Amino acid sequence: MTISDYRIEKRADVGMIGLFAQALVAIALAFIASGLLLTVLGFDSVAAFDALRKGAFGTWRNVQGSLVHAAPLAFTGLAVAVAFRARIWSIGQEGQLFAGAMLAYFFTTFLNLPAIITVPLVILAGALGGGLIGGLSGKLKTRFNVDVIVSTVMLNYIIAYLLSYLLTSRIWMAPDEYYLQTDRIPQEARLPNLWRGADLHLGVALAVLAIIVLHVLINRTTFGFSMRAFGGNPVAARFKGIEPRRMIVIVLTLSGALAGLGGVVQSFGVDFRLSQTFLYGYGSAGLIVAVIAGLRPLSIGLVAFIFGALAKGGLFMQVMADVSSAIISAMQAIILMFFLVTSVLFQYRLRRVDRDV
Amino acid sequence: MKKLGLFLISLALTLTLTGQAVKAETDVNIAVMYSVGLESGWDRIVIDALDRLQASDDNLNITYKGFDAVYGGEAGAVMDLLAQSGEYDIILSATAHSDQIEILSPRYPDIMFVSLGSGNFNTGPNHYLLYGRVHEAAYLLGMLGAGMSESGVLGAVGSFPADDINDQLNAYRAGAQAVNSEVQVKISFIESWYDPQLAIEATYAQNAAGADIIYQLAGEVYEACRDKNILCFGLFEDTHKLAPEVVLSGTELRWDPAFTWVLDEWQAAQESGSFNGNTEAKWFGMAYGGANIFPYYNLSDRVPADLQEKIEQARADILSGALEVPLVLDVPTSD
Repeated sequence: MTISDYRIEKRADVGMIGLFAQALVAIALAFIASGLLLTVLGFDSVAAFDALRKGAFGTWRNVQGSLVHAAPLAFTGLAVAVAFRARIWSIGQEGQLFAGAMLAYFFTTFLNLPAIITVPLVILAGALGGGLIGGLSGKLKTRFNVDVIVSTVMLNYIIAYLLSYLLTSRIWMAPDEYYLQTDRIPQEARLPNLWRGADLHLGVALAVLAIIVLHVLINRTTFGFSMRAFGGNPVAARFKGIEPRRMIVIVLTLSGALAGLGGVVQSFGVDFRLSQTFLYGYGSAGLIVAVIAGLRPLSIGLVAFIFGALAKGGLFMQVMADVSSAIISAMQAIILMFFLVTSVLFQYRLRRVDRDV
Repeated sequence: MKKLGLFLISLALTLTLTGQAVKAETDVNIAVMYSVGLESGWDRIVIDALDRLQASDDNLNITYKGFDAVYGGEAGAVMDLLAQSGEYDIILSATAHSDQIEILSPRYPDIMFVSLGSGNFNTGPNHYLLYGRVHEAAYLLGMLGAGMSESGVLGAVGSFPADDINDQLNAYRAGAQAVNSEVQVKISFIESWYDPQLAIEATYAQNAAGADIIYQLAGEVYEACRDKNILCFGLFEDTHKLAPEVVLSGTELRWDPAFTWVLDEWQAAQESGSFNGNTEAKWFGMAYGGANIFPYYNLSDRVPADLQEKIEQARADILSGALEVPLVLDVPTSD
């Protein structure tokens, strides 16, 4: 006689399909939980979700809006992934995002060149601004052994307050301006739309490109392998000829450059001004996106799009179904919670074990 | 016979369809984009004016809805969605959203965009600009302050040196000087649009420098006034009830005539098919009922009769046009 028994086993690898299934389950559960929340609070949850869907995907213009919202999140998400894959705990994406936008803006204050030159310069300056700040954290670690978490968090504050200083001291504020924001970014420095009448700007294309490049870099190149090896076991990696000091500086510079590009994409593609309120929050959102995506570049693209759609659809829900913005933040948190729960659950599987008695 | 039946059916269909398609031209639905939220007096007076017009306007059927304060790209996305929904005829922004309206006004040419206050610029024919100028009322407050002050020093706590703040401060000083040519006016800017705590700090500082009457333009400072036993002036809305023992009066901003003008423009555009937005912000002063000062209530017996009379005379002269309060936009300096 045979008796069937079930055992919980850890999976060796969840895989791309597993991850996709996990995302679907997490989103489904999150929507059920959010629906309950909405119903308890007295909202018509069907109407609210319909508004969310319409706002995010209802028209081509709204899909574009979701993609535009997603672009900076993809960059900060990639920035987190690069650092975390090498097990370097950088949480300086916010400051690096600011630094990228600020250095790029700095160039526009005195450069007066046609768009064909200014736009590439602005993009490079964004990567440079973020990269320098990231690299600084790297140097602080390798030269003075300053903890990366500490230096990146401190630099977040320093950069944000530098922007605040440049505005309140009126160095970057127009003389007739009373809101804490810079003057408008000149037309020739703005990221152009991808085609006439489109809402998609060059920054969205850059984000897609960055996702593909990072995917190849991490998974298919020697550098990517060294980076992952370093993250896996720095001591063993050193015996393989990977210089840890160099690796830390390179990874943090690359991570910072990606975050800096996120700042340029948002400021030069959407806001056309710099202000603390416009740029606030992309760093921490990028952390969430990267962690949910399991630090995989392609998945980061997908998760960033989901979050972008949620942001865009959430605005629509707020406007059309009268759902307050606080509930939308709660929904995002619920989604994150279910992603974290399912990511643990999906690492295990049930296996049937047959026993002869 | 069959043909006649078909004709009748199609006629009936046409009538019902056109009947449905044409929305009554007297229905106007307004989306209000707040600058801070209803905790701010600036946003509250917008809603108060809309409520009054809703009740008094027999010509139009006005409905409105307020939306959370958002800025930058998010404000653009919200206004885009409001426009897209087709539910709103007018999008009225209580703050500086012209950057975003610049993208939206050509995209939604049938929707009227209205911007209130400084920091805005015209972005197209369907974009209207309004200012809430209360400098005439500030002039009267200056007279009142100078007449009441024992130290001969008045204070004013401003937000930013924006031109719709400067106009009030300059007029406040001009009014004070009209009563007492020796008067001094202490002016500070707290560099925030609304921050009562910071404004209270500035009030204490001005009081220490001798000011015994304070005009608040950046958040209620009445706690400090009560503490120092001095009188205060409020801004835009009647705040007497908040602190009846210290709020002597205040500038009143009534958007009613400005909104009436905007609604007239909207109706005219429904008939003519084109908007005619203004590039120079329009404002409606005291003579139009757009501004006033609030009554003294229980503090009225502390104001000398001859001073009250003088102020009444000045108010009458402003209304009749005999007195024109100069509109000075230069950044005022503190005495």
